[in-house]
Amino acid sequence: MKDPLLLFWTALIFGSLAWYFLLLFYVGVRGGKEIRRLTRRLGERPPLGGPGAGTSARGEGEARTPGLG
Amino acid sequence: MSLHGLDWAIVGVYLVGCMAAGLAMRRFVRGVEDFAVAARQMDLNLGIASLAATELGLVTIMYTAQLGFEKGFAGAVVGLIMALAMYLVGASGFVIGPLRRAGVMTIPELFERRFGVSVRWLAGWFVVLGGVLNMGIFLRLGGEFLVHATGLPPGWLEWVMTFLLGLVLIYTVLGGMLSVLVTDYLQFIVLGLGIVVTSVLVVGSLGWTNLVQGLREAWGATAAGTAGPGLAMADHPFNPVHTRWGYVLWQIVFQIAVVTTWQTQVARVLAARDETTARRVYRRTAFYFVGRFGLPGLWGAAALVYFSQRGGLPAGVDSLTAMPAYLATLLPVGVIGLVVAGMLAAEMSTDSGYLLTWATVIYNDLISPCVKRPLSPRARLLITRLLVLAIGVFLLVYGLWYKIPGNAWDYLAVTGNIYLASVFTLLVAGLYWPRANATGAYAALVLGAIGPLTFLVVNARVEPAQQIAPEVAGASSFALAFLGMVLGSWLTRRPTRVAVPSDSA
Repeated sequence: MKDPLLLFWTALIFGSLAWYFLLLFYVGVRGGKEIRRLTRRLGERPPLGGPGAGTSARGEGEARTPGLG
Repeated sequence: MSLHGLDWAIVGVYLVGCMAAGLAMRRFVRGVEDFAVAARQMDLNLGIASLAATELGLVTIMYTAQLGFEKGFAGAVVGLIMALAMYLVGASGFVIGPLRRAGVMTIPELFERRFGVSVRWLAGWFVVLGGVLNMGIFLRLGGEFLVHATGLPPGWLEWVMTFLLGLVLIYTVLGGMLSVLVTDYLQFIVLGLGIVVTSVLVVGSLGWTNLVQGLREAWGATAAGTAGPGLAMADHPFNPVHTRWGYVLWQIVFQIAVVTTWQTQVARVLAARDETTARRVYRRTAFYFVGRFGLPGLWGAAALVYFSQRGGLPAGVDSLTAMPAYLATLLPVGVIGLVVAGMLAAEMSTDSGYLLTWATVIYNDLISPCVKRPLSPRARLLITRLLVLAIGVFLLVYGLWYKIPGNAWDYLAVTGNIYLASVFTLLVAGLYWPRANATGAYAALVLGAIGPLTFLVVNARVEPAQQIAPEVAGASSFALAFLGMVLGSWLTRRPTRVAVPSDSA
C-alpha cells in the first residue's frame, strides 16, 4: 500500500462509505422532522379562495424578482 | 439465486410504505406551484435526501459499476469531479443563486425575461428532447439489474418494470413534487442502507488486499494481451490520467454544466425555501456524489476480480451485467431483499423526479407561452398531471417495449450534450454577460446542436479507429455554443433588457 494513488482511492472509497452511513442517520432523523414541519405548514395555509389566498396575475403566487427583464 | 419469502416481504413492505407516503401528500396539492416545486417549502435535509435519491438511479448504479469493471477505482474520478463542481457551485452560488432568486419554475422561464418568449420556447424544446430521450434508457437498464441480481426470468423484465413505473406514476401524478420529496426521503434511506450493506459485504467477502491485487493482475494481463474474453480493462485501475488527460479536463467542464443546468438537479434549487437553503443543499450533498460513482464502481471492480479468479465471465454476462451477476453469488437471504428494495428505491426516486421535471418544462415553457387566455389553476394542474402520465406512457413504449437500435446509445448521449452545451451557454451569458442578446441565444442554440449532430453523422460513417473521441465531440459542442453566443451578440444590437438579479431578493 505504498502507491499514493492507491492510498488516495482507498481513503476516498472508505470515506464515501462512512459518509453514506453517517448521512443515513443524520438526514434520516432531521429529514423526518422536516417532513412533519412541511405537512404542518401546508395544512395551515388558508383555503383557496379565502382571505389571503389570492394569486398573482400569472396564477401561482410567487412575487417575481424585480430587475429581471 | 432467487428471492425467498423474507426477501419478498422486505420488498413488499417497502413498496406499500412508499405508496402510502406518496399518496398521503396529494391532499396538499392546490396548484401547479405546489405540484412542480412543492410550494417552495423544501428544507435542507429533505433537499439533500431528494437530490441524492433522484440523481442516484439504478441506471447510474449500472453505468458506474461498468466504469469500475472497465477502469477500476479510477473510473470514480468522474464522481470526484462532480462532487468538487457541486461544492464550488454551492459555495459560490454560481448560476443557482440568481436562478433561485428569480423565482422561476424552470430554466427556460428565466430565458424569457432575458431573451424573449421565442428563446424560452426553443430552449424548452431542447430541454425536453434532451431530457426525455436521455431517460428512455432508464427502465431497461434497471430491469437488467433486477433480472441478473435476483434470477428473475428475463421475460419478466418488461412486466416488472411496467408495474414499477405504474406505481411511480400513481403517486407522482397525484402528489407531484410534494409526493416526490417524501418518497425520495424514504427511498434515500432504503437505498443508502442497500448501498452500505452491499459495499461492506463486497469488501468483506473478497478482501481489500485481494481486490487491489486482483485489479493489478487484471491490468497486467490486459497490458500483456492475456486477459480472458470480456475481462480486459479499458484503462489503468488507479490512475485516471494514465492515457486520457483530455477526458478528465472535459469532465470538469461537463460536470459544472450538469450541476448548474440539468433541470432535475436545478428543480431542487427551485423548490428550496430560499437561496441559502439551496446552496447548503448543494454543499452538503457534494461528497455523496463521490460514493455515487465510487461505491457501485467498487462492486464493478470486485466483479472483475471475482470472475477473473474463477475462469472468466459466465455465458451471457458482459461488463454491464457482471456486477449484478456477481452480487447474485454474494448476497444472503434477507440481504438480497434489502438490496433489491434499495435498488427499486433508486429506480423509483429517479423516475418520479425526472417525470415531474420534464412534464413541468413542457407545461411551463412549451404550452403556457402559446396560451392566449390564462387558464384556471385547476386546468393548469390537470394539464401538468396528464403530461406526467403521457411521458410515462412514452417511456414504456420507447424505452422498454420498443428495442432501441444499437446506435441509439450514441444518439442519446449526443442529445444530452446538445441540451447541456446550449442551455449552459444561455444561462451563463444571460446571467453574467450584459451584452448577450436574443440573436446570440439563437446562435448558441443552433450551433450547440449542429456540432454534436455532425459528430454523430461522421462517427456513423467512419471506422471505429477513426471515430471522434467523446471528449472532443463534447468540448466542441460547448465551444460552438459559446462562439455562437459571443458572435451573435457582438454582431447585432445591444439588448434592450438586461437581467441584473437582485441580491436583496
